[in-house]
Amino acid sequence: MDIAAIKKDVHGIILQSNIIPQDAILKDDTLLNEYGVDSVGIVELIISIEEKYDFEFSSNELNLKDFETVNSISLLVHKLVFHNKENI
Amino acid sequence: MKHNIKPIVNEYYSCHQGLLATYASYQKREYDMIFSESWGFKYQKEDQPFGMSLDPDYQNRRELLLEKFHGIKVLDKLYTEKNGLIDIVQSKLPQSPIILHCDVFDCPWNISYQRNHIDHFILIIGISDNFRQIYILDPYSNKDENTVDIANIAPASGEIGCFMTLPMVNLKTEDYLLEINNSLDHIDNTGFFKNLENFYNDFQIRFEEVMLSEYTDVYAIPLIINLRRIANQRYCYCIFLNKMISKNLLVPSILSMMESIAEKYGLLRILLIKQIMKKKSNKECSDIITEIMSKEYEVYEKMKLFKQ
Repeated sequence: MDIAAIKKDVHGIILQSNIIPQDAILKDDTLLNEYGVDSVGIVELIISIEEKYDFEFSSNELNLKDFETVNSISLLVHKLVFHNKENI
Repeated sequence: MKHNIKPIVNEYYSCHQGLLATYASYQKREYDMIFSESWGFKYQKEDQPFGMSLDPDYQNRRELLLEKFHGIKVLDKLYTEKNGLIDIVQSKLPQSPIILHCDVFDCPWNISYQRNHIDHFILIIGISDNFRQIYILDPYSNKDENTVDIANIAPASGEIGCFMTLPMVNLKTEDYLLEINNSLDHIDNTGFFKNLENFYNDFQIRFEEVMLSEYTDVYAIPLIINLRRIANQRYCYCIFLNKMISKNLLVPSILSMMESIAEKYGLLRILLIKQIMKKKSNKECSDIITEIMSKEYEVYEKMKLFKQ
């Protein structure tokens, strides 16, 4: 799965989870906290991503800095979920 | 009249620390030594429900530290009725912005407005010509200037603080080193490590009640909020450590150890939120608390080498 497809998924997950206003314009580099997303919102997002891709972040992968934008989240998911699989 | 003040916004500062930093910056003074009181850990074993009594356990010396190291004195004053408060604001505001002790329940710009009662501090920076509205800075909640009717925000009686800027005095190295002693004495005198151990032991048997309870405002939220406060105060203590390192009074490794502790508290909090949401616990959190205990002890032992 390529980064563009993951970004599309992440956009969808964020919009569905109601952690940002429905009318918000979310760009790939928009900081989620600009829309008032707090750490509870980030954890909701983490759980939704885990469910979507059927995996679980380990504690050393849970750095909140990686969950600031669609870009950073997508890169992390790509690295953890798909990069490893593609290398098998 | 209104003071033109730029708020100092820092996600790690408590509401009160944010106001002291904002005023110090307005006076072009530093404020990093106020964070030397930030290293602590309080937990009452008998507490019901679990996690509610967790506390960063400051030394409560920040105003003294601000005066000693940065030449800014806070003069506390009580008022007994709202008209009395308006009189004080009118007379004191031309010389100094005013710290008002209030409740977030009454702050329209705060997320807890009309929802939760939490003690709060805000900075009155101005008052309208008809003396009804006040202009507020609350860098803990937002970076904007807020306007509110004084009658709607001030408690019927309460406490305010005015600032006085004093000439700077020359401080000696011993003055700074004394704060290492104060930190270590605070750790010793408040049962810091016993509190951590009690928290760890209770966590093993009582986290389930937090996870399964429907009363999140009584169980989950206090635990999560208090852990954030502790994590934030570790980052604040790092500001003090950094200052000491810049004066060659401590070694840099102590700072990186403390930063790592702050990160661990933050990670613990995130994992707990996740477990509460999923209603599924695992051993990971206990391991992180054990790691925190060991790292806190390591810093304590290392700091002791610099005690006078």
